[in-house]
Amino acid sequence: MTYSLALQIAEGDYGVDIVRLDGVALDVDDVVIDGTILGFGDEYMVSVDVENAQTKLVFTEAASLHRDVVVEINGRALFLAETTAVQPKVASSEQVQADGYTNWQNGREDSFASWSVRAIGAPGQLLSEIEVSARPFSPYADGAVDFSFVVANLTNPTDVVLAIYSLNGNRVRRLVQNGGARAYKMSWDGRGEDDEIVAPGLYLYELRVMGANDHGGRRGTCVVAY
Amino acid sequence: MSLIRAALCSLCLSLCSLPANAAFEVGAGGAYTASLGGAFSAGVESAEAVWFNPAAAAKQRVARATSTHGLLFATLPESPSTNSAALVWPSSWGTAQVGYANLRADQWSESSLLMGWARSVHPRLALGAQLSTNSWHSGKYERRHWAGNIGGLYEVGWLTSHTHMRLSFVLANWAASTESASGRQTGQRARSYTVGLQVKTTERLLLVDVEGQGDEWQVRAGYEAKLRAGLMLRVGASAFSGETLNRTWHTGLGYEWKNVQFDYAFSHSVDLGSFGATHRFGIGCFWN
Repeated sequence: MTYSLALQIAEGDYGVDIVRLDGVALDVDDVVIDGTILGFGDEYMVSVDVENAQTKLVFTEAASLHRDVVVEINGRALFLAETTAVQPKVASSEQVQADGYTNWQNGREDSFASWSVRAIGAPGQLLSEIEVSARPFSPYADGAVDFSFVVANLTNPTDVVLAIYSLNGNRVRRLVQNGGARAYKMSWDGRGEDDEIVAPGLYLYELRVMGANDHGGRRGTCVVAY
Repeated sequence: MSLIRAALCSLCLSLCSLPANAAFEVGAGGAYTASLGGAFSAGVESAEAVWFNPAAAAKQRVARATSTHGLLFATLPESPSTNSAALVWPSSWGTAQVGYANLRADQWSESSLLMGWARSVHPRLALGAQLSTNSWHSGKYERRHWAGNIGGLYEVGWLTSHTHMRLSFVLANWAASTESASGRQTGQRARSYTVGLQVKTTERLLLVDVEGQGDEWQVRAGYEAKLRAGLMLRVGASAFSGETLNRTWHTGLGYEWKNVQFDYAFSHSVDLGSFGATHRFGIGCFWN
């Protein structure tokens, strides 16, 4: 996506060198100001808070904005709901130093309080595909096996449950996180409920999310070897 | 009376506390025995019996071979698959038996090979012994271990003019290693004890097995009825009690055409139902 932000900065204002987008965790590809691509590191830095769906740009002194400009932010976004509101905020580090707090200025649209991004196509499932970090996974060498996934379109906080089974149906471990729609990384250290490392073998895993009106589940196998 | 006492002793032995393996948890067997819930320690009607009781081969009067392909948990993106084959070959000195089975999944494979001998030592008693080797391989890790299995069959005899009863006992995975590929103790305890019975009439078959492996238990039961000439309907159930309970229903069909038998088994876990059913297809034959 490209998020375009028109900034009006009056003469004598602090200027703008911090831009924050609330509602979207953006993997920024590049930043363009009035048609000029800025250099990453030399002219701006990016920090992304996936947990709270925030993207923050901090311009260096060389690129600090002190006049009316159009800022375009290009990147890939992780949208966790079918409809996502994006709220821009800007601030100045000079103002922060002078006043001791950040005076965030909200972006203003002509007809909307914020941008709203709507996913096109069929509504996604609650649970994305699951990436399993290590296969085979050795508890003594790898520490833990990570299950990375995204829970989307979840309106109410609920339990996200990861259960590990042996092939004969014995549930060896149950891990629970409470949360909402966001990116997750749940880790299993290869230990059973008795805190002992399980025997080498093929194991089944199941991830379950129970929403208010919907529920999702994903299943697969993981391998423990040592 | 002594028979009941012996059965009770076997049952008590199986209560001894020993935990289970992670690898080799899917019994080898085949489509025929899976459709009977895996309750086959007292069964002799298929070469698949080599996976359940080393003594069963002693009851074979003809050579038998069988092969099964299985797809486990069919709704998984990459379902594990199993293949197994078994052969029994009777002679005047006893019956030779060979079995091979493997399980394959992404980055995991395990295989079992067993060889054994069985013979009748008394009109009512048959004994058998097997040497088995199990191995698994995953990435840079691999492990092989050897074990012994011993078993027996006791013919109770004809209860009525149409009903015959047989009892079984099996000690499996005797002296199996519990070390991992890196030499660590895995906490496994491999030995298992099984007692079972078979009640057979001319058109029906009932089998029950109770297996203890550490503090984990399996109870298996199967029933076969002849629908018409050559066509058999089978149902079975098994319950595994470890840290949690896993119950599985089984059903299947068998069709015997001349000296060839076709089998299909459908297994559905009540507690792991979301992982999908397991399907097994088997073919077997016998010859003089």
